[in-house]
Amino acid sequence: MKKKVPLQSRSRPWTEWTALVLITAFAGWLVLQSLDGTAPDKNSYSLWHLAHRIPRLAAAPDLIARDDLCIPTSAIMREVAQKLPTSARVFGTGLIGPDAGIRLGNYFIAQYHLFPRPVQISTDGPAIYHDGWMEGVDMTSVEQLKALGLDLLLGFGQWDQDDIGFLDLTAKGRFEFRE
Amino acid sequence: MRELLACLLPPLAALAGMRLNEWLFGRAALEAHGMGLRFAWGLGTGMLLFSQLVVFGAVAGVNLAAILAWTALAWGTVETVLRLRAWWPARVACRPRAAHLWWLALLPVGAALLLTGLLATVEGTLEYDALAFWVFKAKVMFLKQGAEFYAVHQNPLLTYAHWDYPLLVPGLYTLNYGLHGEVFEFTNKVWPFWMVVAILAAILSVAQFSRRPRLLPAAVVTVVCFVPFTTYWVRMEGATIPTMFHTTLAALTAMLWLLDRVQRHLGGLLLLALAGCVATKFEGAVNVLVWGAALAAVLVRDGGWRERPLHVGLGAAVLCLFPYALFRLSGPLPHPVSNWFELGMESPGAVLLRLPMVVLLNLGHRFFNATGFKWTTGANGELAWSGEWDGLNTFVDEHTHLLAWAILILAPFSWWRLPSARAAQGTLSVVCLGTMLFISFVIACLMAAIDANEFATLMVARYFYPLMIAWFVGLLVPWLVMDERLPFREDAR
Repeated sequence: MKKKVPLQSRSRPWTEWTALVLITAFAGWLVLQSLDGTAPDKNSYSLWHLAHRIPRLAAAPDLIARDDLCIPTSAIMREVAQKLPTSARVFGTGLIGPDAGIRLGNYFIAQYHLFPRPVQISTDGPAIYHDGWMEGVDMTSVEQLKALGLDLLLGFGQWDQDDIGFLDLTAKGRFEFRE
Repeated sequence: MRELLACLLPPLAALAGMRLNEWLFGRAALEAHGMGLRFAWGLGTGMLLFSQLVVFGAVAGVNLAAILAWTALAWGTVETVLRLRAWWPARVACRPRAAHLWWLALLPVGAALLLTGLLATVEGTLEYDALAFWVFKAKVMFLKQGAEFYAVHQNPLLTYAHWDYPLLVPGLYTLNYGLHGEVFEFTNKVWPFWMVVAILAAILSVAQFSRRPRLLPAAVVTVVCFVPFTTYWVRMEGATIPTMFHTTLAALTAMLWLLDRVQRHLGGLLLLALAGCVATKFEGAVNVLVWGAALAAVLVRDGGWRERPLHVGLGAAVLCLFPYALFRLSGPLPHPVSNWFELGMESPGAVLLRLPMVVLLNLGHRFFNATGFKWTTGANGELAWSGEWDGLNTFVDEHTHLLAWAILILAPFSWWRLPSARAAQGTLSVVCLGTMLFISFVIACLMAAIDANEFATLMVARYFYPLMIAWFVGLLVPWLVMDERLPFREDAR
């Protein structure tokens, strides 16, 4: 049987007041926390930072500059994607094996921006993703890649983990970064 | 201009969803509820319908994004005109009262939403996960359909993108791209932004705030809006806010239904909200599983499973999830962690040994900060506390700021003060705790060895944030609905 349950509180108004005061105090404290201007900028929830971030983003001259204020690697890869022909074939090196897992974040960004161009990372066919690392065979030489008909080489983590290096293998893979 | 159009798409899709809900459950039944709640239900249904049609197009080999986005815009615009004609005269006739001053208590929420809303139309993707999974899948669905789409989700290199996951979020982003005619990620955040707006509006609506403005509903929406993770995950995109939206909407609807079983249409709307949970993320599906078990017990006991709105809701939910079922039948390659159950069953004894530690770490981090609740894993997998007293900050977790403490106080307090709502609140608490335990079990299956540091990260905290918001809001539903004893009621009249 369905029935409407009459909602009744036991008649002691102080308890309702207590609940109200606690929740209101919690809400007020959260608002004060959000006004804290000392929290780190980019990922902060502070209203102070949000208010300062909007004009900076809106003033960015283009999407690459806007990306630079979000994920800088994204800005680089967006520029590459804009300049590289869609038929270009790309290879990423330095991504195979459990030790290279730390560099996969940058590969994901590159793959995102360069799609629908395939970004191969293994010379023996598609690499296989395991949880946090890739299984496959990395390149042995630039000549090997040229023989496979690839146009651009991306070197992940050549100098440090966050670094991406670029080497054109053919005229199709050649481009200039803007200043 | 395209930012403006993108910003209008979610509310207009919500208006289309509101009409669909009226067709399914009857206009009179729905009009008994406030506009905010109907808007949230409409957004849930609209998102489910349009996103899953995008998925259907991708599977069938057609890019439907543009046609669906413009349909939603046109349909929503017509609905706006029709509804404004009925709604506006009543608003104009409303006379100002002293109680309306409580609207001022919403000013911080208004400021936060204004800033987040503006940011939602200019800021790019901030998080690696969002870009690698959700935004990537949206780009693929916009650019590739049919056999080409199939080739992408069959590529072992790309399984990192969780292709076997539900596709509501990528479907919504793809709708935006259909509107723009190109892949343009800088307006993706309008969806999570409007989901937060809708949940806040639903809470105010449950409390009938526009008719009886008072402090409690304003304080509740301020808490939901200002919990750090709310703004954080709107900006980070991904499926955390969509999961929060659907989980909280389901909790809200379930509470209203369990408190007032006469309103049968709420059962159907609950099933649609739960379908939204399934279509969003794995944690949402777990929540549905636990809700399903709890509701089955209620429905079998009182014979409610025979109610027509339940069948209508179930039929609509199954229909909306059909495109995802089709997609799964095409066999997308699974992410390595998708076999969590098989991994766990390789050594079930070890999983059971790890489970209490995982539960302790998961729950503890909801109450304490990472400095105070710090643990080190020993050589044999045992945990040793290595935290430090951090003053009162020890009791403030970095991600949800005292929300767990609020729930801990509120649950027994409501149990004591609201005897007539005990069954509903008890069911909600069992469901939320049950879901948290289920998620902890999955984590215990996946972790070959406990890494205590992992539990302090926001990546784990985000699994629990939607449930905590749903639990907090759900517990407060009886307090918001019941106005007889709430302070300021006399002022409001």
